[in-house]
Amino acid sequence: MNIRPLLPVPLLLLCLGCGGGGKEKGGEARPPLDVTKLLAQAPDDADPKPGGFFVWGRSGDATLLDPADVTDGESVMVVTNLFDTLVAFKRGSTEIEPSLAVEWSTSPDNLVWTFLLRDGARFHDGSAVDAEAVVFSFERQRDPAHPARRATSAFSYYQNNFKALEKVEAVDARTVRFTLKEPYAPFLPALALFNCAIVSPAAFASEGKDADGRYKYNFAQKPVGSGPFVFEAWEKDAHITLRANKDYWGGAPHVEKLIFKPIVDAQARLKELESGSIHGMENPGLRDLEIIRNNPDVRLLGSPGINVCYLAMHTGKKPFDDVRVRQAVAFAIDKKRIIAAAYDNMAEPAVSMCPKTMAGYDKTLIDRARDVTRAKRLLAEAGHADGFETSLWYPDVQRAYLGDPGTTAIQIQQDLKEVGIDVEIRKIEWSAILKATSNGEHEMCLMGWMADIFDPDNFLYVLLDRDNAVEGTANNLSFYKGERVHELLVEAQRTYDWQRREQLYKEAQEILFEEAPTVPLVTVPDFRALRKDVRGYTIYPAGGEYFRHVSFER
Amino acid sequence: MSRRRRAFFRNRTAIAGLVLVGVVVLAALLASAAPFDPETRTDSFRTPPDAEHWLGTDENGFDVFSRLVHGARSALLVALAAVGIALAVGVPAGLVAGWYGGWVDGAISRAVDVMLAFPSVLLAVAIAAALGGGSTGTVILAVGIVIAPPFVRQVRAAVLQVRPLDYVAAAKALGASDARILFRTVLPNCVAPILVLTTLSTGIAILDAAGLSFLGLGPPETSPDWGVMLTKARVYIQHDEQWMLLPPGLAISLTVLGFNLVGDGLSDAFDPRRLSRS
Amino acid sequence: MTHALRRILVTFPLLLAVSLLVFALAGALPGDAADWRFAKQPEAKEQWRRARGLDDPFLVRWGRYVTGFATRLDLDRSYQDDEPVGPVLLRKLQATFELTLCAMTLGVLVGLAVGILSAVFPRSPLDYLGQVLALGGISVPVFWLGMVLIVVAVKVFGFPFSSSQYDPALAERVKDFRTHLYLLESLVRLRLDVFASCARHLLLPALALSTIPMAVVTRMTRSAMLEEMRKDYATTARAKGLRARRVVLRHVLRNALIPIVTITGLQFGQLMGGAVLTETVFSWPGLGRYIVESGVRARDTPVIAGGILLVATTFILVNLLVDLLYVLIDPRVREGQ
Repeated sequence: MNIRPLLPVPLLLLCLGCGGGGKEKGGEARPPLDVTKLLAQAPDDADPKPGGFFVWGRSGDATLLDPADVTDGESVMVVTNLFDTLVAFKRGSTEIEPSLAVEWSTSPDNLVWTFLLRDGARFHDGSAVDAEAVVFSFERQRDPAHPARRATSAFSYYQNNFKALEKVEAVDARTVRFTLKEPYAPFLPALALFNCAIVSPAAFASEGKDADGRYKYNFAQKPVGSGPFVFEAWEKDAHITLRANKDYWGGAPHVEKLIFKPIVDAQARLKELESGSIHGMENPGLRDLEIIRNNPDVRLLGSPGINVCYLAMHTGKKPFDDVRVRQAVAFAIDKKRIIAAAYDNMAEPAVSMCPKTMAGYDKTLIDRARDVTRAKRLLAEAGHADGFETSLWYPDVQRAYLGDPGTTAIQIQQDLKEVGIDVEIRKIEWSAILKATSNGEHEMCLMGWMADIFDPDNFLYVLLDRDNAVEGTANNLSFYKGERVHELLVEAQRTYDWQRREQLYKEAQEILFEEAPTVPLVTVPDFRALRKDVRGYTIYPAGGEYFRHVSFER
Repeated sequence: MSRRRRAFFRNRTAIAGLVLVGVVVLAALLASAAPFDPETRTDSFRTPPDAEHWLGTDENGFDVFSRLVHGARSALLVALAAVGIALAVGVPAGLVAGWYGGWVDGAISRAVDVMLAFPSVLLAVAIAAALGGGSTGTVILAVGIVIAPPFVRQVRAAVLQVRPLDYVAAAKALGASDARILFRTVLPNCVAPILVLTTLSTGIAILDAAGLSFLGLGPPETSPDWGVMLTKARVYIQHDEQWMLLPPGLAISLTVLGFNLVGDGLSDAFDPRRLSRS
Repeated sequence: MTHALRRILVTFPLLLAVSLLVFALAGALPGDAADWRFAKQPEAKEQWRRARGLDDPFLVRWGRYVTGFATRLDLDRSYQDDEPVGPVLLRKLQATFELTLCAMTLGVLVGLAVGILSAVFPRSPLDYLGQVLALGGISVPVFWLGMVLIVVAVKVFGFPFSSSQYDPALAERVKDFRTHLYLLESLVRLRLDVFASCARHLLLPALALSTIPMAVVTRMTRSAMLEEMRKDYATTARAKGLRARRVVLRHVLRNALIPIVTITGLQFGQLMGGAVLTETVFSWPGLGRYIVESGVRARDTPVIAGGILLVATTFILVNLLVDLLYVLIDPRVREGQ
């Protein structure tokens, strides 16, 4: 029985740049970039040079460093270096390998999971990583009255991913038992997520409790884990500095210090990389990739991303309650031009809400080609021969899957204009758009999703199931409530047989393609740029950054 | 008046300013005659200037020249509306403060002091954000409020100057109402400084509006707005498309320069002493 | 002395009114950062609002805010992570201060020199240069100038562009610094490597920003000088045979200095706020940029309120300082008009 999704990533041939520019004259003769030809890993040194400061340029500062409470990528990439989880992703892969837990077993009904902890792992404050610490780390996320929970903690990842978890118990000092309420196929990959990091109970207790019975210690600003790096300093918006954990159970990191430097602007970030004041960076501007490739001092790394950017239509509102209107929109959109104009040909058109890079993607789907006549005909059949007016909301910040939100929104507006739909586009602050769209206040919105758990459930159930279409807490922004899709997705969630699951997901994706509650637009590869003398850096497809193996050339 | 007019027209830099402003006004008036619609994409995008697209096309496929011309309309509209707000608020407030004095003057002057205690750009940012941002209307309102205080001060000072004069006293003796005296007798004597301030403020309003756009608080990205164009061009500062920085940047600079030159010319023509520009 | 005292006393109600306006504006923002933080948990948000006392009446909250600021320099806590925003804002204020101070120094020095020379040699090429400078500085959008500077510096001169105040690899070397005015402190401590790094980081943004005070000071100096030189005493002095240069420098400049100092003070405050555009272009870790990016964009009300209040307070204090400086320069004020 194979409960782990297959790994199609290396098999997938992503050929980018097939799009070409405008109609004929737009796209200048830029050679297409084949992501599969880019390395996802900088070469390792057999005998790495110890020492040195490694500075990582990124697009923003962290907000918090409490692994259970972080939600943004900038905070996540810091905590993944400070903490360990029970199980972890294999280097550069989405496969699960032992970490703090060395082995585990499940009951026949898959409801009870027992983990044996590594012997001798210690937190940065010297206390031992034992079963009590594991229980502590999960309990504080579950129990609203837990002393290690602050009045303001949201713990949203736990809320979203561990609804099936009933209890966590320490059997003995090295054994932990998890009991589930119902079978949950993505359980193991979910445990590899940063919010399941094991935190030091001793650190929390070190400053006593306040009048409300909560620990005073400010963990989110002074995190203590067991990971390869130890927290040293955080100067907001300037840098976060970590130092190597010489006693790390998996072997000490090579560099002496790891510094995260926020540089909001992608161009400025690149300029710093070129001048050598940073050694590596995330999210290079897609338009800068050629510059990076042509610079002998730096190296471009890439890996097919596990994400999807999509257009959601609120199916509870007119005229999007009519499937013909939604199909018309799907026919009207020119993904090629969006990719050329907003992604500089550095993205892959998406067909399903489950990205091609994710196991369970339905390979038999064939995308609609742009067809203005057909779109107009569908609109006419639906009684909108003269088109209609609507609005499209989009976020004001770049995301990994949304390199240029404004241009993408404008291209959709122009696409729809050509079939007679008059779209008013509105840019909305990130926090505001998350709230408004989950309340269902929009007509159409531009959004995206990155895998946090490596499982198709994380895309299809989260983004399209009616369970997630509750106003106020919705992730299903089209508010699509198809009965059959719901049955299929829930069954898939409780099934541990991968082949059966794959079939269920295939059927669901076919229905969703026809029903078109959303138009999947693109999947964007992950790019990183590094100085040439950096060794041992690897892109982790499931997100987060891990710098333990990084070193400088001798 | 005619002597002043002659003084103004003898001033060569003022004439240059007038020409610049004239060109912008002309562009704004004739914007509809631009070769392309500024908000409908063409088949090509991100192309350098050629015979069809005189200033090339941007990443959305919009014709840059057409957007530039329509941008003149938008810039003038925003600036004039903002200055209009400043006039509508500032002139009456200044008249009242100067005329009645006492606690009215105290209240208005303190309010002006509070406004002037903020750096104007940040105040505009705060107002635009509080108004929700993201539209031409909020930009106009934010800029209008920010540039109003100098109008109050200027008008108040002018009123204080004319209030003790004989002909005002005469009007009062004839039993004219306060409103009548203020608008018929006092206001005409403040026209010169108001005119100068209005001209200079128009330039400042254009700059402030562009700044708000640059900080993401301006009109929607489809709008043919110079600030928006400049913000989008920022992505290209390392690329072959660097030239895209030039059209909107030069347009803003030259327009503001024009208004400043005209303002200086007016100020020189009206008054040998320089008016300060706070 | 009474003048100075009165001037100081007036500052307090002004600060109070300013804080009220700031607090009201920031509070009027549609939505706030907590909406995002508790995106899917309305109850958690309610609980949080109660814990933070956000449901209290406006005046109560304002009173608490002002008292906190006045007594403990406390500027409330962020809506994003409940950390006090004061320390971060004060650090950012110092970064902005450093940038503004350098831009101002550069601007005033060049502006004074060009202004004096234009007044002494009217209609010379120098005078025309001065006028171009004076008009350009107030007509060209500073953020555009910044971008053009980057293009020219990087492309043409190969200048190694870098954002932030110093190279983070030097973090060890600045660890013991007491302030965040890295340029000044490294000079005081004679850490030349840090100083060089800071100067390199500061050069382009300071250059861009300096054009504004440069323009204003050039204009002001030129006109104030011309006006003073037209006055009787200057003509008399010249007639008496004193050498022209000494007249200019001693008497005229001393009298012309009053309006120049005023405008410099005003400019300094304006620049502290206006620097937001320059900071954005050059990714300078200053207060204005922080207000826009972490405050306005993230809807973090305390960041906006606290940030603007700090800038306004600095502005008011600088103006107060300038006013008090008058008393030293101008004896007429001292006697009380």
